[in-house]
Amino acid sequence: MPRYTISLDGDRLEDFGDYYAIKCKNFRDPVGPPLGGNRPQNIKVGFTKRMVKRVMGERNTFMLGALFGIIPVEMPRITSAHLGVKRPLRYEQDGNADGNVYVVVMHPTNDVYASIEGESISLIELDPPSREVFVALLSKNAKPEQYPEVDFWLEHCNWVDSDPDAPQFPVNYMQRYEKACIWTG
Amino acid sequence: MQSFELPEGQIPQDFRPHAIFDVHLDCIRVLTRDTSFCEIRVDPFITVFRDNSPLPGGSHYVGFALKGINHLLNELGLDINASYTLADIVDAIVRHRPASTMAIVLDLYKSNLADDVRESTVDLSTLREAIAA
Repeated sequence: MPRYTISLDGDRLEDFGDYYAIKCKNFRDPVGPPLGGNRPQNIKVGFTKRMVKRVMGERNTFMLGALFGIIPVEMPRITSAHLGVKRPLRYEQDGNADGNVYVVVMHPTNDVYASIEGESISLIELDPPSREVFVALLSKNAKPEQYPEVDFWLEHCNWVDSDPDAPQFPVNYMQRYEKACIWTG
Repeated sequence: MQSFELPEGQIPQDFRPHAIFDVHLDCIRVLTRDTSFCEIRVDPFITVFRDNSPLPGGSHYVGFALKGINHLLNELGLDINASYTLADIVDAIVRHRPASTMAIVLDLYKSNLADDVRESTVDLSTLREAIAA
């Protein structure tokens, strides 16, 4: 089996064996008391190598570009977080798991795809689509004792239209999420 | 500059339209073209993928997500631990959900998917192994 390598600018991604982790602006903890000065500035979001392997197997070069070219760059500067995707979602025994899905919003300066040359992958930047924002769907790490380096897992990421009246947010953000906005920063 | 070795695996020479089941988000995603796209929520059950750079004369839509698959199978009395073809699932949804929201999906399904993808098996059981489970 070939082993592909990918090169990234900066020092944004950590490799923990079965998964990668990235810094993300802390949207989880409320600002102010009771955490006060102890509130961490950043938390960590992980994505699994299983996900990367699936995307590789699909030759989905734009999702590869998103995972390595957008997510690591933009997670530390997310601008808002929303909770609950208001749709049927059963996960294991939880029939209302949609209420536990966090959505964080980014405004990438580029769209990115992965160019594959032999076993080497490079990231190619394109202009971002206009009037769209990039969102990541996250779930809380349910096994912190097993994966202490990660606070949330990346489940999916994609472009969505921005709201015409509040372009920093996803379209219809007031209706589409259970909690329309839980954090901005 | 960081350099990462990706997980062992083969990247095929060409993109191939495909359907996958996402167990954590309880949805099936179908993608017909390797491109940047915008996800448009049609309703709580269906999202369509609008191409961010459509080919001249090509479709503006390059895929869709069918959401709440566990719920759907439960409502229909079907076994979540079984395997179904995409054709089976689309057929079940068409019969179970309001037809109006299915128009774009059906158009994509009929015009953009090769027969082997339509008949490909979407295994709802063997993908339950994500590390974050």
